[in-house]
Parts: sequence; structure tokens; C-alpha cells
Amino acid sequence: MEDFVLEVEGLTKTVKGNKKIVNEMSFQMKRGEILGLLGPNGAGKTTTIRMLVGLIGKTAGKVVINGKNLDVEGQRCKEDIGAIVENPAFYEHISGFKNLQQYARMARQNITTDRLNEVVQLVKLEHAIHDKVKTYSLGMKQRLGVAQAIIHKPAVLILDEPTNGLDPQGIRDLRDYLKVLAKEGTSTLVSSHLLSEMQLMCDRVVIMERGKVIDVTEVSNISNGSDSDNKSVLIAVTVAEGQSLDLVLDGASSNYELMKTNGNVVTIKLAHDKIPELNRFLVKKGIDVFGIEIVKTTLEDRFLQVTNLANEG
Amino acid sequence: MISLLKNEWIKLWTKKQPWIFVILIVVITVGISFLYQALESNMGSGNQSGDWQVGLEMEIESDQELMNSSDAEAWDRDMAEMRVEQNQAYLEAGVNPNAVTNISFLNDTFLMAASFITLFSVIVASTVVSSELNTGTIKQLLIRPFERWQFLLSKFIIVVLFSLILIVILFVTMLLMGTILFETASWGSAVLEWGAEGNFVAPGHELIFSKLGLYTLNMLVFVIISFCISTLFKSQALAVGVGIFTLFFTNISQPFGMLLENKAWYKFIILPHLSLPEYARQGTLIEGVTLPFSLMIIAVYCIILMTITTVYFQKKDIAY
Ligand SMILES: Nc1ncnc2c1ncn2[C@@H]1O[C@H](COP(=O)(O)OP(=O)(O)OP(=O)(O)O)[C@@H](O)[C@H]1O
Ligand SMILES: [Mg+2]
Repeated sequence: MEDFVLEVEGLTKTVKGNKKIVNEMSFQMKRGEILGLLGPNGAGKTTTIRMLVGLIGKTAGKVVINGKNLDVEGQRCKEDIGAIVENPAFYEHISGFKNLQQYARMARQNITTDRLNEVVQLVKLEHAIHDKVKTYSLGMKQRLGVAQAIIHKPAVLILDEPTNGLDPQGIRDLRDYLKVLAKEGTSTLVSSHLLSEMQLMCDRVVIMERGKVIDVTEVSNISNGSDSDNKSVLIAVTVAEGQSLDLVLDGASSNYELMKTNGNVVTIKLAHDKIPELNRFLVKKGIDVFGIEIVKTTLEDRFLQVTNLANEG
Repeated sequence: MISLLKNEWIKLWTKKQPWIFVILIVVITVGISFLYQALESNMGSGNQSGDWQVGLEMEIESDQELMNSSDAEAWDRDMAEMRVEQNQAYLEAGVNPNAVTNISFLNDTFLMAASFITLFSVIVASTVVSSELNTGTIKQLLIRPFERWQFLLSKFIIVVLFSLILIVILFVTMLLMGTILFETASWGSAVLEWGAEGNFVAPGHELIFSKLGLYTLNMLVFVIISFCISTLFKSQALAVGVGIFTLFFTNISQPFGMLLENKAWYKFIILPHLSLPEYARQGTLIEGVTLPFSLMIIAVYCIILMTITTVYFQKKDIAY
């Protein structure tokens, strides 16, 4: 059996008017993994996270954190979690460091000043940590939020839109220290609607829309251009000016699917091992081929693709 | 739990508000002391010398004449009789009704000054949960490994502790000012008290400490009401409003009390019982209502309110 540090099964939240804002969500997070939770605004990411950390009750479903059922051992589960839920809020009239001390005192284990300094260094807030939080910028608060969440070395780190307000350097830093934490055994669930970020940050991505999981993909697959389900790829075929593949391909084989024609570049979807066959076919038909290239699908394409499918279906 | 208390304690004193309240309590006490001194020296100027007993005896004599004279109204004669009894009691107890000592000062003004503590405590109790609900800092607390009621309890304990500190500060400052400005008397020295059933004389410490104890209980009730309302309705303004309204109402409730006293339900609502310190000088608040009954009614209301608040807070969806 695989070692899952977070298992979510049939998680549902029903609000007034019998509206399901989270609807039968199921997914797992492997130990040491950085798992993305991707969805457009209002998809239910924050609602899902609130249920995971016990801020709101769940209507149905089961959550297992580090082998412990959230319903049975709520407090033990929380010991293993560090989280930012939406914008982190702090006591504005005291310093960042004093804020961290507040959270440190609430940890089950003893947290030394050395550990606090270590975390402050990790999120690069050394220069401002003794200033009052009300003088902080949005990005600085976000960094303090991360510091607050990792102070007790949780097994599961849950970050809701942590890149919100961060500058490019900050995003890069976040990415880097999430990888460091992953090596130390912390698994991270990170939500965002920014696809390019998720692609760089995560190992796998759970794509959700309107409260439902609509896809779970390996990020490595996406950047190879292959589909996680059927290993099909998109290729771009550059042909001679004026030649059209529409008629040639029409009804030729169910193995090839013409996606779009853009001038003399034609995008075709097919199984990876059918590429040589297509090549031979085009030669036989007398088409002048200038190049065949595997298109690297971005997460964005993938995202739009699956959300469109979900909308149609 | 200890760590939660420590956190709350630190959070309380990092704000300006509690410091301002502490300073205000000292300033108000000093102000009241000087005001009291000014009023007393105006009123009691004739009676300050050592021959107060002679004065009292003269008063008794003239009253006795009045009692025996036939042209006086029956009513006048009754009044005179009462005064005679009282003055005789003063003479017997050796109490100069017009002498001001640190003990009589404390007894006379403690409750007045303490009403400011109730006000300040109501404000602090209303802020302690609702401010975290409004700024959203509550969510970083509730995701930590504690039960929600533990956060409520730790906040409540700190508010009560703060109120007790204010009471101690008030008491010490009053005693100090009284000792500086007026004569020094022993704790047990007899003082004059105005009760609803007439003036009476009692040992100072008995009166003062029963007022202190009853006041503290009374204040605790106000703290509970505002703490619970601010948590239930997430509104500091509402809680302070209700607290002050209740405080105000109990001060003006006497006329209502007269009107409603004989309604059977009146003694089962909490309002008439929120003048607990009155029991220091009278046996009943309204007819047939004694201290144990009042305490019972108050306890029932408080337990219900606190249970509702805790159950509600345990289950509440925190969405920020
Ligand atoms: N208490 C509530 N009552 C009714 N509807 C709610 C409630 N809370 C959230 N919703 C709705 O549920 C949906 C999901 O909200 P949620 O905040 O989880 O989205 P999100 O994925 O985090 O979006 P974003 O990217 O904007 O942060 C929204 O349409 C929101 O309007
Ligand atoms: Mg959100």
C-alpha cells in the first residue's frame, strides 16, 4: 500500500439552499509530495482547506491525516498540520517575532528561539522581524504566514494561495523552501489559480471546479506533452505552403485526430507510438513535411481542456 | 492550557487599552478622594471637635421635647423618636456620625468608584473574543491542537483576572488616599451606613468586605454577559451596549422594582438581582428575595448563557 499522508474521501460541504460548494472530493497526498490544488475562483479550494484544518465542519466525507481520522482524533491531527488559510491574519500591534512566539507556545513540542530564528531566516524576514506587523507589506505578511505554519515542523503543510502578494523572487524562494521541506519529510498541499506557478512548484496537481475534482495529473507528464490517461500526445506538423491536411486525414484513420490548423502548421493528437506511422502515411500521400514536433502542453492547456470538458459534460 | 493563558496575558498587556484603564482607575480614585474631602469639610464644620457627644445629647433632648409636646403632628413625633433611638445607638457605640476616617471613607465611596471597574471590565470582556473574530486572527488559533472551549476559557480567565487586578488597585489606592487625607481608624471601628430600613452602625470591616465580595460577584456577572454576547454575535459594540444598558438599568431599576415587585415573575428575571452589593446594607432586595435566592437566579442565568456560548462556539463555522 502506498504511504499517503493525507487521504480525502467523499468530502462534501453543503451550505444554505442545499448548495454543494464542495462535492464529493476525493484525493490522496503522498508523503514528501508537493500537491497542487488548482481551480478557478470560487471552485471551492479554500472551503476544502477549511474543512481539512477543522475551521468549518464537513457535511460528509472522511479525512485521514498521517494515519489519523480527523473525526476521531481531531487534536492529534492538528498537531501534524501547519496551515495558511486565505490571507494570514496577525496581531498587528506587536512584532512579527512576538507573533511567532505566540504560535510557538501553542505547539505541542518545545520550540526554541534558535528554531524561531531558523524559520525567520528561511522565509527571509530577518531585517523586519522585530518591527510591528502593521508596518509589513502584503508579501511580508505572506512570508510570516509561512513561517507561522512551519514553525513546529508539521508533517502536512497546507498553504492556501501562498504566492498571493509575493514578488517573483518571493515565489521562487517559496518554491525552493517547499522543496527543502519536502526533503525533510514535510508534504505540502498548496492551492492556487495560477497555473504556471503550480507547474513549477508541484509534483502533482488536483484540478477542481465547482466543488468537484475533475482531474489529477502528474506535472511531469504534462511537460512531456503526454496525457496521463492514454499516453496520447499533441504534435505540430509543418507542411508546405498551400497544402491542406484536412482532406488527407479525413477518415484516414481513427488513430489521428486533427486538432487545429493554423496556417501551414497543423496540430494533431495521436498516440505517441503512432508518430512514425503518420510520417510514412504523409509521405505516401505526397505531402511535403518540413517538420514534426511534439507540442509541450502547459498545465494551462490541460486546465482549460479539462475544465471545458467538465463544462460541456 | 497554561500556554494559552500565557498567550492571552501577553496579548492583553501589549494593547494600550488595559494600561489606560489602570491609570484611569487610579486617577478616578484620587479624584473621588479629594471631592469627598471637600464635601465633608463643608458639611461637618460644626461638629468636628471632641464634644460631638454633647451635640448628640442636645439633639436627643430637643427631640424628646418634641415627642412629648402635644401640638406636634403624630408623624413629627415618630420621626423624632426614630432620631432619638439612632442617636442613642451612636452614643452607645461611641461612633461620631459625622467623623470621617479612612475606614468610613472606604465604606462610603468604594461602590461608586468600583462602578468604573464594571464599565472597563465590560469593555475588555467584549473585545477579547470579538476582536479576534473580526481581524481573522482567530483562525490561526483554532487550527492549533486545542479544543475551542479551551481558547474561550483562557480568554475568560484572563478577563476576570484583569478585573480582579483593577479591584485590588482601586482598593489599595482608596485605602492609601483615605489614610493620607482623613483620620486613621482600625478595621473594626464602627461606621455609619445608610440602609433602606434606616441608618445603622456596624463594624467597618464587615461592611467593607461584604461590599467588596458582593461587588466582585456582581461584576463577574457583567463580565459573563458581555463576554458571551460578544462571542455569540461577533459584535463588540453590541456587547458593550448590552453591558452598559444592563448596568444603567440596574441603577434606575428601583422605580420599576416598585411597580413590578408584586408580579410573580419579576423576581425570576435577572435584572433586579444585579444590585448584589445592596445586600451589604439590607436583607432583601425586593420583598421576600434574599441573597441566596438572588445568587441562585444569577447562577442559573449565567450557566445557561455560558453553555449556549460554548456549544455555539464549538460548532461554529469560522469562515474568513
Ligand atoms: N458560507 C458560505 N455560504 C454560501 N456559499 C459559500 C460559503 N462559503 C463559500 N461559498 C461559496 O462557495 C464557493 C467556493 O468558495 P471558495 O472560497 O472555497 O473558493 P476558492 O476556490 O477558494 O476561490 P478563490 O480562488 O477565489 O480563493 C464560492 O462560490 C463561494 O461563493
Ligand atoms: Mg480561496
